[in-house]
Amino acid sequence: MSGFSASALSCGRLDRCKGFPIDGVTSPRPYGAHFVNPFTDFRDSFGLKPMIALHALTASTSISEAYLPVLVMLVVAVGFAVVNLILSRVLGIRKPNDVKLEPYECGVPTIGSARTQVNVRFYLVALLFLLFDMEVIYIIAWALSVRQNAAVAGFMPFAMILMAVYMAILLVGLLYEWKKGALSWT
Amino acid sequence: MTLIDLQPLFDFLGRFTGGPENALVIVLAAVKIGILLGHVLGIIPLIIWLERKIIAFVQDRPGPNRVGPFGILQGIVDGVKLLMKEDFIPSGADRSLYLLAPALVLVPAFLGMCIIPFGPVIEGQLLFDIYTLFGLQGMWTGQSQLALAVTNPNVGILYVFAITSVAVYGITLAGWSSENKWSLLGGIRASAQMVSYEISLSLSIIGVLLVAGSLNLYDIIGNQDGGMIPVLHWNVWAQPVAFLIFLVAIFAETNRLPFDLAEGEAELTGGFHTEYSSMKFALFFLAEYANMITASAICATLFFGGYLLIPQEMVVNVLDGILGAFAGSQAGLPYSRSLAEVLAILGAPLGLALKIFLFMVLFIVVRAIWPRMRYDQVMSLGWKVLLVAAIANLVVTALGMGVLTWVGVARAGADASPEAIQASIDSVTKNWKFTIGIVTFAILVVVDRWHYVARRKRLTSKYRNYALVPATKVTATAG
Repeated sequence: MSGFSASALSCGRLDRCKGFPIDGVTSPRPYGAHFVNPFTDFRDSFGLKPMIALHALTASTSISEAYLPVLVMLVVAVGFAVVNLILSRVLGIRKPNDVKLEPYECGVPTIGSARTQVNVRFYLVALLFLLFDMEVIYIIAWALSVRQNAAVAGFMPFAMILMAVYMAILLVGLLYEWKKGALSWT
Repeated sequence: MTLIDLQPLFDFLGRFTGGPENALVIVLAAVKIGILLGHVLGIIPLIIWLERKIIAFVQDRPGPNRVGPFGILQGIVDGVKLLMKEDFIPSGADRSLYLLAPALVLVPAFLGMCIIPFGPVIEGQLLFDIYTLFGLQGMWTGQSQLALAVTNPNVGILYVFAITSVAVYGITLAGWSSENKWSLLGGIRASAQMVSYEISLSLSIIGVLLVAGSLNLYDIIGNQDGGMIPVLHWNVWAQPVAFLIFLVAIFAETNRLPFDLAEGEAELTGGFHTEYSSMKFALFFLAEYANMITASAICATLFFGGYLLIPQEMVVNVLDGILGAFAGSQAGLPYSRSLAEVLAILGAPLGLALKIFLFMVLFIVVRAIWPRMRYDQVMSLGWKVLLVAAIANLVVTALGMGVLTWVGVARAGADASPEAIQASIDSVTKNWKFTIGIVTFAILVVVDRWHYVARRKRLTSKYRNYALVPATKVTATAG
């Protein structure tokens, strides 16, 4: 049993992972070198195997290779921003007065605070975004899994049926939102 | 041949970083970041100058023409001016958030650039030669790789989404913390617009993932390579609809015209950066252009073969021929094919730079000629057109890949080994992926025409009581 769905997000491609330990087998190994019956072995990969991906993430040597540069870039970017803010603080003239520090509202005297309530539609957009973004994440995992297990007999139809059901639920939800007017701005 | 022995240096640095390998990764990252940021920060003033020149050309005026030849130094001078400007904080502002916001926009923009693959991965003998040059033979393992990208994580494209989403916080906080109604409205608008278009953006990318079969950007580029003319393998032929959706979505994500409702100067003065002055404003500005460059680079990588333009082997062979002939004519000149390979690798970023430049020109030309949209139009385009189109594209692509996989399995034969089946599937999907593009594009055209005709019919029946004045008559009376 391979745990094909568990590997989808931890690696771009299974055979590119150095020292990817699954069931004592280390990669590189070819695609589809194992027979998987999706109807009997699938529950293992959903129920028990996700720990494998976690293990691979922490055990793989390429993690430091991939994310130490990001750390360096983070330091550089924060440094760049802080240095620029301090520089303009030091170099710029500073002659504040009451009128200058008022909010700029085109010369009209400010009335009330700016921290007022905003249109409720913005919150609706945020909620819809959360829903759809999660759906997108699942579809990404599905897409990779489909491509990486294409050679496994019986996997493709199974995955297609799964996705058809998922898509149907998604589209019913979208249709409901549309008919309720959640997607219309006016 | 060892030029300089750096092994002791890395042994020393390794004491603080948990091993000389980590020290090597960090030093290499610092060098690559230096090169990348040097180029990007150097090119941004020129892009701004180019933008102002092109817009001036479209509007029939000279544009910046005082500083340097053709005003080319205008961007640099503007940067210095912004540095010297007064740096004030409005009295009502939330000081800490107000100062944090520009950094929170700039840092994700820089982090997003990390992933851009601007050149090929160096490995094997050539990398060993380079290691030897710096006395690092001891650190070379058979699997050592040097990618010409700051980082090359396996999650690839997901990293970009994860990082650039953080910029929404910066813009929202900038709008909220300034205690200005224009800023608040601009910030809220920008955040709603960015999250709306992010859905279509990521859904359109899934089509590319299905075709390429990997999240890793080098795998996606490798999938678009092959043959004498790599152009034929570009994903834009397999995913034209995804490309159009992606293009519209990156305009909205970077808050550029026609989607710059967040800073529409006619209604919100400056939007979320109304109250920002001096370098704090410059950081927003810089982040916008850095985001444009990142978006162009990702678009070039996903749909236009990244840095690939001419087959690398062809470049190496041509350079090898020229340099070898030259070295042969000069007696005693040491020469090896590695030099041609190194030169070809150093030339690879030019392909990406060309594509980024073309995308930047597109950004600018669209800004120059396109009117700004209304906010309800922006939102309904995102949720009612692009989202539906992206889902439809995804469904058609998935079905197409299913068919191509089936063809691949059938071609391999009934008693083929799993490796042979996979190889057959790979070759069929790679060579025939353009059929998916033809189908999706045909569906797009048909639906678009149908929608146009239906809309015309609806409008003519709605307004049939109004007399339509012929256009010629209007101009005649106006004159």
